[in-house]
Amino acid sequence: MVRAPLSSLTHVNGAQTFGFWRIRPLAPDVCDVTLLQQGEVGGSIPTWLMDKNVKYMLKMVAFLVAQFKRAPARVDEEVRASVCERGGLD
Amino acid sequence: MHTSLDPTTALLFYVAPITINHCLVDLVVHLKLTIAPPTSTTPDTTIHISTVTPQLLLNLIPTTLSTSATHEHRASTTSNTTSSHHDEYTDRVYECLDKAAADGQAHYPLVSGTVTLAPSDFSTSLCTLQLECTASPVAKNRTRVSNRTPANILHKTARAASFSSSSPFMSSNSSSYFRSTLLSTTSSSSSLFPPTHPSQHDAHAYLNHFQPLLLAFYYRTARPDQLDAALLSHAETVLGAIPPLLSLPEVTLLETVLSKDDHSFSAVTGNQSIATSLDSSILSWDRIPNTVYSPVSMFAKRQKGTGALGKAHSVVDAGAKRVFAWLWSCQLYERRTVHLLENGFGNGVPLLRLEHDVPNTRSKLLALMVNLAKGFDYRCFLTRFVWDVSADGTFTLGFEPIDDADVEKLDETTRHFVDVVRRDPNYAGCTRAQVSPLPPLPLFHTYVWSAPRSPRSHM
Repeated sequence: MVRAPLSSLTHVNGAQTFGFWRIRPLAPDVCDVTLLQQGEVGGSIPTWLMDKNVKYMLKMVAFLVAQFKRAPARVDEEVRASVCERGGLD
Repeated sequence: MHTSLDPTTALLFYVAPITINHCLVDLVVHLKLTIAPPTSTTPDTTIHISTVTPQLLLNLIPTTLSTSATHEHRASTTSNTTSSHHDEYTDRVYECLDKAAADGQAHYPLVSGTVTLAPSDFSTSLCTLQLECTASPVAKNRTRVSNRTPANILHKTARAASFSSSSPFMSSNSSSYFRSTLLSTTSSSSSLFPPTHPSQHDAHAYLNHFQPLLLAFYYRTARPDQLDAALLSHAETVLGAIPPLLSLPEVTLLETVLSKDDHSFSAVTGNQSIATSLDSSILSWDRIPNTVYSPVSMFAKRQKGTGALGKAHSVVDAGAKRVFAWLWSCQLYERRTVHLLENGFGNGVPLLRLEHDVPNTRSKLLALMVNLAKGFDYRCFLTRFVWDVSADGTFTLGFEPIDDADVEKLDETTRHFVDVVRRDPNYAGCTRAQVSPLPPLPLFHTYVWSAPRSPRSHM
């Protein structure tokens, strides 16, 4: 198959995102994850429209949860053990 | 047809029929395999590819014959060589040579280049294909080409990206990926022709013939799950080592992004009283609808003049170091696959997803092309990540868009990375690993072939 030279994907410059991930250990194999993120997509998309997509912006956390999902009972047990080791809740 | 020159070199000829504009063109391909001896400083395996002109072939075959004596050579070769040298391709090779000799060498498409297999980390190989195609105006006999076809020979060069890695993270990430990415750069002569010139299509077709070579390399040895696991383990090991000190710009970045949170100071100092979903600070946020019973709590804070600030919080069933290693390793197979599935495959253009570790720092640049929604243009994000870990094991990964002031302070390779991404994200999307400066050729036009399917589907 002969392909023509590929044309560029049309894109808009000026898209920006900033924020942070914070990963705090709860147990040796359990952690607490926080994502704070703000995005500017540039172009002519109104801000109110992008505000509705905040959930989309944060879905990485949901993917992370699904990625490392384990049996809840086992995780609870580990967290309990960790709390006991630390001498109680902070 | 196969012959051998010495123990470390082998030659292979074959005929490849290529269809171009509904015309069947026989391409005689010459492969020369060179295996560097173990004592060599660069123990690479190199396959030299070239299409064969009659003169070249006659020079390679250890028999002195002239082009006009091809038939005699065929007869003598057939009678003197073993049956292994006289396979089904031999006749076609000579047939093509006869035809080429009759038509004249100028009409013969020429492709030359190399495939280099260099050993890399995690028992992988860095496979680099470098091709150059000279598509002569052979197409003038075709109906699609008008008489205005220039007599000049159009050179097209396809050059595989050469990758280098300077930090442990980079080497671990980049080594696991398919390196068959082809960057095609046009020489200065291309400005004489419109990009849709038939000769360019011819050149592209010839080069396309060699694309499956690297795809085959990849698919026969693909093991994404194993490599992802190895990469994560390696990343965790590196995290356990003593990290470089944070520089002033890195500290500034972390303070800036953490200031967006209501408890930025305590977050920096590692106070564990923060970051719970019941924290009082969360009350100033609006919960995003339909996340009450979700394992991930999501909140938003609307701000005038800027985009909404989003916050998500959840418990992940893995260790903090493991999770951070996963976040930091942006080029895992599974993350690349998810990126492609979510944003599309770029209509044939590899979707930009490229990272660059800034040497001797805790910084990384990540360039992403994101498809917001159908009907909207793609957005190119170029973001700088900086990480830190506190005494209690809390990892913080801050990110913000890179600005020009930051770029000036970075090393030359990083500046080149930023320059490439900003100049043409599509070009940058052609690479699967670090972009390194290519030799003097201008990088103003690029097109590539990429793996048509996700690696995981081949497991």
